[in-house]
Amino acid sequence: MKRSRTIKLTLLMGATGGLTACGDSDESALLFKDVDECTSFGIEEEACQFQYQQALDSHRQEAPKYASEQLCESDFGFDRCEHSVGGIWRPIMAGFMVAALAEGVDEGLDMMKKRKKKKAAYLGGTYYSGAKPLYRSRDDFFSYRNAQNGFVASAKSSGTTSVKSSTINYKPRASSVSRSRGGFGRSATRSSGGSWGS
Amino acid sequence: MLRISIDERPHWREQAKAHGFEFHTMYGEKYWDESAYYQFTLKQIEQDLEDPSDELHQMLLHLVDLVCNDESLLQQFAIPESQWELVTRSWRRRDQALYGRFDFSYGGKSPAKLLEANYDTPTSLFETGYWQWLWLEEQVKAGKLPRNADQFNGLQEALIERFYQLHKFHRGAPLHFSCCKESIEDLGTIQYMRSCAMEAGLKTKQVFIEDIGFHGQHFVDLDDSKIQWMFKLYPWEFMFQDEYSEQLSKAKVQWLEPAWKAILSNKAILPLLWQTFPNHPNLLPAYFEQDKHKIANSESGYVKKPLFSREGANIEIRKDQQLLARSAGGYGEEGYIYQAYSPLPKFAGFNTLIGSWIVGDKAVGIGVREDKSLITQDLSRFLPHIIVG
Repeated sequence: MKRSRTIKLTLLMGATGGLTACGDSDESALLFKDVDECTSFGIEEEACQFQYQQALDSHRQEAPKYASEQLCESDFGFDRCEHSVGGIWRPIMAGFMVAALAEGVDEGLDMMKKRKKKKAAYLGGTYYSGAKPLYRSRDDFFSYRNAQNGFVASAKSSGTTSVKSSTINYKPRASSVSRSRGGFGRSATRSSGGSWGS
Repeated sequence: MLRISIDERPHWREQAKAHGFEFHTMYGEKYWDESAYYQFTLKQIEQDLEDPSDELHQMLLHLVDLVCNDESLLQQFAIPESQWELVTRSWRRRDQALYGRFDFSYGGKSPAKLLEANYDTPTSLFETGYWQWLWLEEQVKAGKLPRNADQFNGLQEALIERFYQLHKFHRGAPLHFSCCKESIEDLGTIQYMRSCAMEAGLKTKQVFIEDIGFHGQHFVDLDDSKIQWMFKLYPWEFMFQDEYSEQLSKAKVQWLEPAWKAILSNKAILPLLWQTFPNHPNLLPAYFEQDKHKIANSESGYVKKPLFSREGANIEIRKDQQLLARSAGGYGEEGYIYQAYSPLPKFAGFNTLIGSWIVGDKAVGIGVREDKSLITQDLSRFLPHIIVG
């Protein structure tokens, strides 16, 4: 017999395989560049400020850290990095994300329409883990990415959009200094098609 | 060798979904096609495909040795000088390899002709090792195929066995599996491989190529854990150009495939094969640019292939000064080779190509692809096969 005797195998295919969190589902979220974009979407300034500050706090803890400005700029582009305490460089926060249940957001906006007196909506609904910082990297400038370099959404999609729950519900990781990431894979863009097998 | 029509299994699409085989249809085109199958005799399989594959594999290893001891050849293979040490050292250490695939033009009547060797990042592994096997089992059970129908397909068994052997060299270190983001085909392939590795009892992890980091002396995954041993479905020639190319020689990683495979994933191996083993029955005449004239006006016509090309990109077929076919792509700046044109056999109007798999040092199975186009590309359809008689 020229073939395998048995084919039994625990197939990992199609399983999330440890790449994404278990049960990665689509969640709705609000994405804004800054507080202005948030208020112009019809949300109370106070709520926008609060979420922005929360994202900024997370940013200080979670942002990728670099030993030099040059290293940071090689990943995020010219003038896209800031100096912080301890001589460490990190990318600037390019936006923030508030993950909310779709119903919560809709309710908030509905309420705003109904109560004409109130000019802006307050953010209701369940928040996942507070507002999160967003980044835009040099090689993929038109996408928002989270602090773990996970793709979140297109940078054009401000306001309500749908994101993968794993991009919100990640465990913040203390990032180590002078680490670089993403040094492989760029050659792949020079040819069309997504597959590198042959 | 015959092409025979057969009823599709009515439930195969749901089954594919349940097995995570998501790339059976790509860009709206059928990739897996079970409306027909190819039938071989045992003699055709053993004498025409299996034995030549074993022999060609040994020939390739001989050439790796040749290239590693000759700087002018390393240059001709467009391997950057800064990486010579990495490549040659991996060969002198005899770093272990996993697998490879030959592409043959073979129609059952004359010797199989080697079109190319895919020895760095071959795919269509799951379709060959698992899916067509399952198809055969079920069609026999359903009475649509004879009970004695066999298949040249010990691929999965061989992969598991090979992972088990390799494991002995790397006791303790988890094997990282890696591919680029956003290709369900590549992701499916490494997940299948990972399944085989786990079956062999290995500790495994997964990381996307783009997520790999470098930290001091070693590459790290997204958890910042050291990468000590890694399978990459990503070509060496790309790694040599990426930002981390300098780090390659600093980090101590056991790569699968090892760096010496950079010599074999390169079309320059084809003219070198012809130079070293002229008139071998399974080889087509092939020449480097400077000897192009030896083939330019030949009766058979010729195929122009870039040194680096995947999925049939940037190929040109010319005969009698006429362009028969050409494929697009982004390769070619490193130069080309010229190979005698040997048209693929036609079955039911389709051009048929045989992929013959090597695991370790042994030929272990085949997969059949067909296409309307003269050039087999990544969307060419995959059909199952059987052996009868």
